[in-house]
Formats: sequence, structure tokens, C-alpha cells
Amino acid sequence: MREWIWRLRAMLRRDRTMVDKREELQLHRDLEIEAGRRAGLSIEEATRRARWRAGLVSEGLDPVRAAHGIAWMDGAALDLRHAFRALTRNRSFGVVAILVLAASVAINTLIFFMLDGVVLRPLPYAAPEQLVRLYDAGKTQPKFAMSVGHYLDYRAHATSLEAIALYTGHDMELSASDGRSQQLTGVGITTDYFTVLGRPPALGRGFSDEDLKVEVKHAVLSYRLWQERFQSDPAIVGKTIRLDREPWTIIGVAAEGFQHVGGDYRSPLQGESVDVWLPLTVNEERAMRAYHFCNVIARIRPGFTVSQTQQELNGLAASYAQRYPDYGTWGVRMEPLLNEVTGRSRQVVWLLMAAGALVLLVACANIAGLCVARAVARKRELTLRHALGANRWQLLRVGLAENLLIGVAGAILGLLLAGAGLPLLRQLLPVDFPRAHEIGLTAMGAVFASTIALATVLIAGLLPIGGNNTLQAQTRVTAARDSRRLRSLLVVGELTLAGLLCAGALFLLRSYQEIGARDHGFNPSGVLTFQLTAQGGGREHPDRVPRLYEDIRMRIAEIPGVAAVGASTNLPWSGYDENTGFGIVGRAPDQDKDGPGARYQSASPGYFEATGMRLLGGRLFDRTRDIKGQPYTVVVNDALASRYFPKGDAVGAVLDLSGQQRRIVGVVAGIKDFPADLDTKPAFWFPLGQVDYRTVFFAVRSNSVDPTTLTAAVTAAVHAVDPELPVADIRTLERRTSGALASRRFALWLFQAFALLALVLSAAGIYGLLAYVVKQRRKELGIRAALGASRADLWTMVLSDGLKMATAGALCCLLLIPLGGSLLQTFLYNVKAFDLITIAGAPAALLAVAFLASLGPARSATHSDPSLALRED
Amino acid sequence: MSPFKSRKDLFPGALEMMVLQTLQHHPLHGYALVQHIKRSSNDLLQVEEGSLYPALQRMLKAGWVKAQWGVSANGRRVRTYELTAAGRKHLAREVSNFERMLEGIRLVLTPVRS
Repeated sequence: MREWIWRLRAMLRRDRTMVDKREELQLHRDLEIEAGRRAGLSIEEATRRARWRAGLVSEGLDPVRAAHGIAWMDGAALDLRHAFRALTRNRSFGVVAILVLAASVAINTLIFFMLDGVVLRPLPYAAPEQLVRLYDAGKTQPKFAMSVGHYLDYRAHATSLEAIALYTGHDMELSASDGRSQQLTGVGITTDYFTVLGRPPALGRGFSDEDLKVEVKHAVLSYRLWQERFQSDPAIVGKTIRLDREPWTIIGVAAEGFQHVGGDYRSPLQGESVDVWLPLTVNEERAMRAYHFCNVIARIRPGFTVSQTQQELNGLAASYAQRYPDYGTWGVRMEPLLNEVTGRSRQVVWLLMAAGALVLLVACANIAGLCVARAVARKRELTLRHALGANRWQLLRVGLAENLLIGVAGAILGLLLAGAGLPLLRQLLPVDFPRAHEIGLTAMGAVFASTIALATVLIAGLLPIGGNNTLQAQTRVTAARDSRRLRSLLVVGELTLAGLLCAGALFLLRSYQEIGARDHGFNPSGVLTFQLTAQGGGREHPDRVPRLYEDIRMRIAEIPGVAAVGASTNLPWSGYDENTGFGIVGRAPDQDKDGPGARYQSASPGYFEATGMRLLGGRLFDRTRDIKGQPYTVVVNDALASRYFPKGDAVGAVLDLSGQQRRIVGVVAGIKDFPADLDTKPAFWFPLGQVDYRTVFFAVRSNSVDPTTLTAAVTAAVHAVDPELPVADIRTLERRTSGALASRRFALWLFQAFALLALVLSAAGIYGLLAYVVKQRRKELGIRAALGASRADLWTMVLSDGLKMATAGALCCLLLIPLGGSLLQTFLYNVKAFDLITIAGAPAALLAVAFLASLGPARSATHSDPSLALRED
Repeated sequence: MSPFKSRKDLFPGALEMMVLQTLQHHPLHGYALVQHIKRSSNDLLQVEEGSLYPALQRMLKAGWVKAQWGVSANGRRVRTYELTAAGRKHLAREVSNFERMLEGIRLVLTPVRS
């Protein structure tokens, strides 16, 4: 014990100690010379004798160093030098191991970059763990947008909340002097929005309570908009800009890099997604209490727990429900902000991380196999070293030093590869992937890469020791057999893991195909879509907006090649989520307070035709009957019809919508909110001619295959009607709807890449082992050939070796596939854990890969010259 | 050429024993130790520095001696070694072992009188 402390101290103070030693020895020498002088020698002679007597200073020092515990470190350096030389001599081992390691480290690090950016890194707000999103919770709507009334109540009375703010999307048109206006992403916010997040504006101020009025036209710009559109004008505060063709005063510029909170309901994504912030104004009492359209962000006051806060808010919500019984009973739902931001994507990232870990295990087994082969190859050398007095630890160290070098090289190369892969990953990522902007090269990623690289090589280096530990007293034959058995085991392990990854990829592929093969209720191909936000005509021209849209529609319909055109409040799979309750005329209202409810939206004539929705009964909207002044009408989907009119008497029935009575004139096949949803939500459409919407999406179905060829003509048609109206977000419907599947496609692609890599690695494992075995058994094969074994016999021998391992791997993976399938279940649609195609496919892939990998060694087995083999040693 | 013995001629532990014995009276630095041993042995024993310093190092580690940097009469930094209590005990044990061994050897070497 005392000795260890001493060594440790010596190592830490190595330089100091060496200087002391030198000085001590120098003194000794000087005294000796002096004594020589006193005895009457010349100074030269005295010095010579002293030197001679002492040898050289360093000679005296060497044993001192050895006794110091520095030897260990010097030994490590020596080991590394030795390992480096050994690796450069045996290049193929080093190169293969480094490449295998780098590839698997690269993909794992890439996924880790995602994990780090999306899940691990705190959100860019002050004390983000205190931030929560709040929802109104109803009986059928557990996470509903909040009404302003609830917000005012919580803001005034909740002591456990430090601050609370509402926000809701409100896009604006920014007019420019050159007449080219620009669509801005805008968000209406209440007073404390910036304070809740702890990021006050960089210039000017945020909104005060006095700003939250319709007549106050104050705006806060985003830093980016301020830079790009206003050239970072330092005197911007107080200036006026034209938004939606009205003058607005700029009162502030948000902090640089400020990220919007994001939300599912009428909100831009989390990130630097907002151009302009406006006051969220609600004046009317009824609108304040009845309409739920606000996202909420709140900060829990330090010292309060989540459950205390939840309890207090529950109490407040209950008393609110008693005070305002006309507006329904709503509770409160509270969710940590990070969970809300990352949502389901978190699961995807963890899933990919798990898949990456499997690949890493395959790589580890692969490198371990290489190490076993290497240990066998250098057995002679090790035995010699052992005989010369190296102890077990020293022998082990040589191998570990080699692996350490491989690990360092693999980590560096892997990190470089991961960095190079980042742009590709960004391209593959779905557009709306949360926090995608946070994904990048980080120090954490570098630490992760080096950790997994070193852990992998060290484990790979230590694995063979378990199987192959006796140096002496073992004949070459048994040693070779042992190592072969260990390597076969490793290969079988690789195959099992690769099979599992294949199964995962197959599961996801099957699910993706199932979704694609579904009847979605519309036909996205051949449709061009874009967004328009018209300016209202005010009191003088109340009909301006509907007339404008109808004019545009007619213009577009005249374009050659257009089969149908229509406008709607929303397009399929866009996440649109506006709901309302209604009554059915002639039926007593339900006791249930929530009552009948449905998604409400609005569509013009031609919209259903343009998107390819199917009419199931009644008629679609037309331009003569479904306009103002005519009886109110509505088109419903099959889900609404079958839920509320199970007898099939929907057409002709009359709905009561807040006192307005509307007759159902048609039933169309429904569209699910998301492509993999199990059921369709009840929904209906107002005729756009009777209910105005300023922001609409146009859908234009073309006769030709590529609808983008219509882009110029369509834009011209819009500008012919209103030259200032910006045509925003022009995309084919196919591109939009494929966005809804992007997350699945992304996971599928990566899984396929992982499975492929794992297959390649295990193929390399099989190939390496069989090639080695064939080389080892050269003599035996030669004898067999000489004794009359046919080529086919030799082929079968080698191939059966490979296929045996593949079969073992396939069996292991068969046992695990149902388990994997059930773990994946949340990501699957209409695919069972016992999916036959997957269960057959993954083992088949293993057998095929094993067969292909065995071909090379089998060929060399039949081509070996028996006489050559026999003549050897 | 040289009249002194090399360390190979000493049995293991002998050098340590002599160093400890020499340090028993007062602390000394390395050169003085060599000189002292040389003088006391009538110039029969000349300790090489290549043996002395590693030996001192070992004894430091074992805790038999402790070292201290000081300044000599003519102002040079010198490292003097001092016997510790453990060293004293070790010395006593070694000396008694040695004497018993010497006695044994002497008995073997003395011609048997019949």
C-alpha cells in the first residue's frame, strides 16, 4: 500500500524527482573529483576517474527510474510503439478492424447527434425544466386548446405559476415598396410570452396589457426579419410597417436566435420559425369563454412541484366551471414542454439509437473475431515472449495496445464520417421533425464516439481471452479448434443481430406498404396546391373575399390542362384540427355535455373533385346553390354520417350549428387525420360561398401527369385577379401528403441502412472465418482431393460450414423476432409481431448472405493444389 | 584495475545493512556514506553510486530511511539520509540474522577437530 502511494507520488512528480536525482548524483561526482584533486591528481584525471567510476549519469538513473513506477508508463509507450509497428506490418487486420469500427461508430454517432439535439439538450430557454404546456381537458378531448377565459383566471389566481402566456398562429402579409409583398409567419401572443421563456427582446420591449386591444397595432419583429428585411436598422423601434395593408408600429425586436415554443394547434414549429409577433386580442365575452383556440406556455414557480401545481389548477378549473356553466366543464392538462416539443419523434430517435447499438454489437463481435484470429496467428510470438519471461499481463497488454490504436483510429475516422453524414441526415429528416435545427456536430458527440469506439475494441480484445487462455501445454491443433469454435460463436451472434435488424427493417417496410395500400379517401397524384390569404373588404365590401376566391377559381379553371380546381380551409393530412359541437334538428340533445362534435372546415365547389374525394350519397357543392342568399348547406363525411345517422338518413337531415340550421346535402368518403390513424374523425364542410375564410388552400388537378407544369399559369391567373396577393407555399399535394409519412420513411431508411451494414459485417465475419479455416485445412483438403473427393464434395464441405452458422443464427433470430415485433408495435400499422413475411424474410436474408459469403472460400478450397499442400512442411 | 569490490560480490542485503549501520550515528549524504564505508572497511569496500542510489531509493520506499534536502557548508544543495525507527528495527534484525549466518559459515569453514 505504502509502496503504491509512493509510486503514485513519484509519477505525479516525475520531473521534479528526476531533477533531484540528477542534482544528487552530480554532487556525488563533484565531491569525488574534489577528493581526487586533494589526492594530487590533475583535474582532468580526477574527472575521468570519477566518470569512469560512476559510469554515465543515465546508467545510475535507469534503475532509479525502474524503481519509480515510471517504468509502467514507459512500458505503455513502448507497447503502443510496438503495437503500431505490428499493425503496420499486418496491415489487412488493422485496416479491416478500423473500417468496421469506423462505420459502426459513424452511424451511432450520427444517431447520437440526433439524440443529443432533439432529446438531451435542454431547450434554449431560462430554466426550461420549469416550463409546461397547459391544455383544457374535456371528456372527449383530453388535450384541447385553451379558451382565453381560463387563461385570465389562471393568470390572476394560480400562485404556483410564475407566469403564463397564450399564443396562436396569425400569418400576415408584409407589403413592400416595390409591390412584391411577402407572407410572414406571425403569432399572436399575450403579455408574458417573452418573460415566461426568459428571453426578453433585444431591442425595444414586448407587449404590455395595454397593447392587447384590437385598435392597438403594435408588432415585435424576429431578429432574422429585422436583419434581412430592415438591414438591422438600429432605429427600427417606433417605425411603421404595413402588415395586411394596414400600418403597424414596431415596438421591439426579439432576441437573436430566439426560438418559438411551437405547438400542435395553429402554431409554427418549435424553433426560429416566427417572423413577427402580434398582440393576441379578445374583447368579446362570448368569444373569450366559448372559443378554444390558444396554445399555452407557463412557468411553474420555483418551490412548487408539478403535482402541487396540477392540484391548484384543478381547483381553479372546477370553480371556473361552476361560475360559467354555459361553457362546458373543462379540467386542466399539464405537460412538460420538452415532451410536447419532441413528441413522438423522441421514440423514433430512441428506436434508431437501439438499432445503432445492435450494429455496434455486430461490429464488436466482428472485431473480436479478428482479434481471435490475430491472437492465434501470433501464438508463436507470444509463446516466445512468455518463455523469455514476459508475464501474462504483459502479453495481454500487447494485444490491448493494438486494440487501443484501432479504437483511436476508428473513433477519429468514425467521427469524421459522422460529420460528413450530417448534411445527408438533415436531408433525410422530415421537414417538421422537432428540433431538427439543433442537430449538429457537438463536443458531446465526440465524447460519445470515442467512448463507444474504445469500449468496443476493449471488449473485443478481452473476449478472446475467455476462450483462449492457456499459452503452453496446448497443441496447435486444439488451439486452432478452440479459436475456431469461439469465432463461429461470434459469427452466429453477428448473424443473429443482423437478422434482428433485417426483421426490424422488414416490419417497418411492411407497415409502410400497408399504409400506402390503404384507401385514403382521396387521390394526391397530379394535384398542385398553394395557399392564399386575401385581404378583407371591410364593411363596404363584405363580399370581397368570397368573390375574389371565386374569380380566381374560374380563372384557373380556364387554364388548359386543368381538370378541376377548388379551395378549402385545409388539405388532407395537414394536422388541421378545428372542432365544434352541433345539434341535430328533431333530436333531443344528449345528456353528455360534450354532445355531438365534428371537425369543421370549408370547401368551395370543385374542391372534392380536385382532391379526388369520393361522393357516397347526395351531391357536392356547386356554384349556384351553395352561395350567400341560398339555403344553408353542409357536406359531411362518412364517419359523421355513420356515427350520428346510423340508419343511413344523413342526406336531408338538418344540423344546428350555434343556432344556424344547415341541411346535409352530401356525404363523402372520409380522410383520416394521419395516414396511419385507425379511424376517421367525424367532419363536415361549409360551402366557402356561405362561410368566409381569409386563408385558404387551392387544389388544382391537372390532366397531365406533372402538375408543376401548371405553376406559372396558375400564379399568373391569381395575379390577374389581384396583382398584390402573394401565392404562398406552392407544392404538389403528393409532396405535402408524403410529409405526413416522412417520419416513418425516415425510420425505415435508416433501419434499412443499419440492417444492410449489419449484413455486410456478418458476411465479412463468415468470409473471414471460412477463408481462415480453408487455409488451415489446406492439407486435409489436399489429402481428400488426392483420395478422390470431387470438387463438388469440397464445395459442399465449405458451404455447409457457412450455412450451418447461418442456420444457427437464423434459429436464434427466429426466437427473437416476435419479441422485436412487439417492441416495435407502436411504430407499426396493420403488421403483427408474427408477420409471416418478416419471419420468413429475415432468416432467408441470413442464409442468402451466408451462401454468398461462403462462395469465395469454397472456390479457393477446390482450387488449392493438393500436391502443393502436401509438400508443405 | 580497481581495487574495490563490485556489488555482485556482496550478498543480498549487505549494502543496505552497511548503509543503515553507517546512518545509525548521524545523517549523511550519499558521497559521505561511500567515504564512510570505504574508511571503515579499510578501503576494502568501495560502493558504486550505481548501486548506492538505487539502494537508497529502495530503503526510502521501504521506510527505513528518510531523506531531506539541506544546504552544505559550502552552500550546495545536498540530500541527507536519516535512519527511521523502522530502519533501526530492520537493522537490528538483519545484524542478528547476519551474525547467526556468519557463525554458521564460520563453523562450517573451521576444520573439524577430532
